Amino acid sequence: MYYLQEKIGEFFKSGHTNNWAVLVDTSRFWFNYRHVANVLSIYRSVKRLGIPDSHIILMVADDMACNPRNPRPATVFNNVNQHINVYGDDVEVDYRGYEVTVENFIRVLTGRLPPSTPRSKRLLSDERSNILVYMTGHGGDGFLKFQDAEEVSNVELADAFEQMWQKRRYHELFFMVDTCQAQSMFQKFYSPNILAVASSHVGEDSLSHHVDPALGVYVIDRYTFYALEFLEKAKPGSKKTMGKFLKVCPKHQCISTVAVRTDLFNRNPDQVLLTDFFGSVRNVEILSHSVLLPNITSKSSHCR
Amino acid sequence: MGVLSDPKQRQKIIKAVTKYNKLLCVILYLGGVFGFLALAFEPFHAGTYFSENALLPGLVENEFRLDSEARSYNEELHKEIKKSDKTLPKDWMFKQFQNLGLDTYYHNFSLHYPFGMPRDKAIPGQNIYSILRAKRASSTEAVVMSVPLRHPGVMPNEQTSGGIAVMLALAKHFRKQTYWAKDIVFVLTEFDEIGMQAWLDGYHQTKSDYIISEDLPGRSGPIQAAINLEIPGEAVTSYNIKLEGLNGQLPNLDLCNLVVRLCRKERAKVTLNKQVDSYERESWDSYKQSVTTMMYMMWNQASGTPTGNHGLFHRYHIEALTIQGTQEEKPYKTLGVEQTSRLVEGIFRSLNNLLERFHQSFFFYILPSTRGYISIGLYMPPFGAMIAACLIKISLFQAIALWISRYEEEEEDKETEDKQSDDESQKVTDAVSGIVSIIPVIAISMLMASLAYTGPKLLTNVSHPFRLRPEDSLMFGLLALFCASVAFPKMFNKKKPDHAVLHLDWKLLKCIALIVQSLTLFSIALMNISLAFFIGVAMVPVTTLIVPTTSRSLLLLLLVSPASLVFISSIIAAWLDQHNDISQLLYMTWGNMKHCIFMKLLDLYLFGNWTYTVMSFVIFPCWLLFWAIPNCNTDIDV
Repeated sequence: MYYLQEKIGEFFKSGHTNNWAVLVDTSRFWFNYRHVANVLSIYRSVKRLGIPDSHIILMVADDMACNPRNPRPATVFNNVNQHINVYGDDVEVDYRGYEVTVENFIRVLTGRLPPSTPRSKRLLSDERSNILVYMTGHGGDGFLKFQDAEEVSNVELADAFEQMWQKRRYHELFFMVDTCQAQSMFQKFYSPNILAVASSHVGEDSLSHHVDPALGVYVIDRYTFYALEFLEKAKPGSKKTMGKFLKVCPKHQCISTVAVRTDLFNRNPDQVLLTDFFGSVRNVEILSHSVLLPNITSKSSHCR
Repeated sequence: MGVLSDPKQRQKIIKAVTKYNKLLCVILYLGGVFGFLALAFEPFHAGTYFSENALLPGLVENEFRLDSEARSYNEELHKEIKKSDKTLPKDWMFKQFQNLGLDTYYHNFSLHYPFGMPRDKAIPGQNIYSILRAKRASSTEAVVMSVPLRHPGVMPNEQTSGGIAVMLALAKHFRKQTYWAKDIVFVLTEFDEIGMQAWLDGYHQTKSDYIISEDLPGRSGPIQAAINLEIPGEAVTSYNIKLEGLNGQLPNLDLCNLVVRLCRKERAKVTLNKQVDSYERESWDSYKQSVTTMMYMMWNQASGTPTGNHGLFHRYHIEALTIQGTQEEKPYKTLGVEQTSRLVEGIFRSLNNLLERFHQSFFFYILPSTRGYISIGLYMPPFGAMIAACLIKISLFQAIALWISRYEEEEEDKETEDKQSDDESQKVTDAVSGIVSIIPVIAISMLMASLAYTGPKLLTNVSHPFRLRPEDSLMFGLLALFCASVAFPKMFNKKKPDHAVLHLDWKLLKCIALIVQSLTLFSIALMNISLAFFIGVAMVPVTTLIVPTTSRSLLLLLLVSPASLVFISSIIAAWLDQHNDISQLLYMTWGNMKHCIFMKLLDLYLFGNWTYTVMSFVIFPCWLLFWAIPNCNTDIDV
């Protein structure tokens, strides 16, 4: 009995009880097919690792599957071999086409949505939520372009995350961005418990991986391609760590240099499970007797 | 601006400009001309690149596999054409398109010949066009593939039956594909540009005076781009790209780059105005080749006449070019209709990817080779320098003199100015009073210009009763008009019995003439740089340096008169046609000159070509202003 009480701390080691993912493709148009393929691939991976559709906010700025230029209607492929149709049978796009705006994105993050917004379109996270934010599109030094008309700056994004922190909307946040000069997107972050990775340093372009000659477009970006290769090998019970994930896509594969930011993050990424962000794995153990649990949230150090 | 507002500084500059005026003019002119030509050297201009992301050139795999169909279309067409000497097998073509299940229509038009024929006698013509509707899109945009229908008897060396076979084979291939986002319109036009103009008029519901076009029975959305094919039935050895459109308009550079890139992908030789790129990059030979290519392009552009059917699309803001199949004696590789089909397939797949009209790359450029371009930002400064030679001259006569005189008055008490400026200020006072004296000259120039512009219509009415051919009547009529205007200073003089020559303030006249010349050349340069460049090269040195009453000035001015310019360009045209024997060359030149004036007028009436208007209404009066200068007396000495 006493032994069990000791192990409870370890049981709640990761500190989170639920997982959310906000996956954003910010660019439209047929020649940006790869960005849609990027985001749908990540969507497919996190879903496979256990985050349900209800906990995924998927924003896709264009409908590639139904673009008349697509020779394979109703499909989106992320590889020339066309093994996996990432559009799949049950993709739930929450914000699509022209709904993908900076305003909507910030509102989703901060929870300031109109009352009429359905639950499926809200990020209903709490102080025990681990959130994965994945963004892809065309960016520059300090901004990421949304559609063809507006952009979100790194300062706006940093402020949005701070607001989330103050509103107790996350426990830990993993920010992943695949765009040109992606490092600039997380340089202004100042809120705690954020781990960030970007596909390229400031001044570098992020490059696409390969063309599918049957479609006539680039189908995936380099960083996302290798990140997916890593994710594909993980299963829901996997013991792979974030530390390993952050080392994905070295320079000879990516051509750009992957940038990582760990100073805001409290834990050592090498001891954080991949599934803490990419999956939704609950540690379940059935006991024959009841255990008295202390209220750990009230004394947790990282909450203000 | 400190330099200009400080009077002492300003005077220094003014003095320097006045003192070294002639030298500056020469340096600016020569610097401008040679600077312009130097741009053709490869390190001095940028390499071509794709500006429009959406094109995705050559990324998609060619799927055209109907090689045998393309060949059999070609053979069948060949047989059909042989059946009759006079008419083309239009019904056969119509049926082929219809058999493919496309919306196929005839489009009738009639041409009222502007010269000498009764108005009611019209020449009938008929186009065929066919629309492939995009299956999964809303028919709001279209791309055009066109081929001119040519009777084998008319132009045996420039047949287009291969292009028709390519079109049919591609139509067959395209209609099975699901990926079209734009409709594809296949157009076969009779009488080359005339049919094309009629079809475009019909499509856009515009009207022209001499080409009466029937309303089109079927339509698609706004046309985004057009590719015109001039491919002969036999195998070709290289593809020649023709860009120059009506009034020197050019298609967007991205479209040209696209065709070059795809030709390279098909490993086909590609040329511009039949000039091959040289392999080396920085040698004298490659520079010579680049200048030749550039000059051919500028020559065609300056004429303002479209080099093919594509040239008429540009004014509707449709990017278009012609791909011409050319045959050489020693082929590096022969390309049959199936290879051409694959090339055109690639072009259309890229055009299909377009999301908006071509807008990214350049619309104003000169190509010295297929891999490099000279943009408007590069060619304008040397051109500007050339024209600045005139402006510097003006400054000598007028502006500077005015400045100097003003400051002299202010500083009169302070110090004594040097003698030269004193004289200058004296002249200025004369100049101001002299404005009245030059108004008649300007008025007469404008009158002559309007006569030259409206004359041809009158002349054609006259030619019929006199049983003259319209070419001859126009030629002689305009020459007579030119002679009359050349003689106008003499007629002027008769009014004043006491003097043998004109009394005018020639300096003021020259200033005004130079300003008019610079202004017009600059405005022409914005639309048709080649025309402005060639006129500038010829006229600027003569007009800046002329002075009154020297026979040398007279002779030089005559040499750059519009009539001589037409004559010189006709010689060059004859020489380009490989007529090297002197007598033959002169004979050809005479023919060319007649033909040139006639064709420019025909283009003006049928398509709205500006070249004749510019020459008769802008360059001619400007030249007449200068013409008055050497013919006038100088009360004020030189």
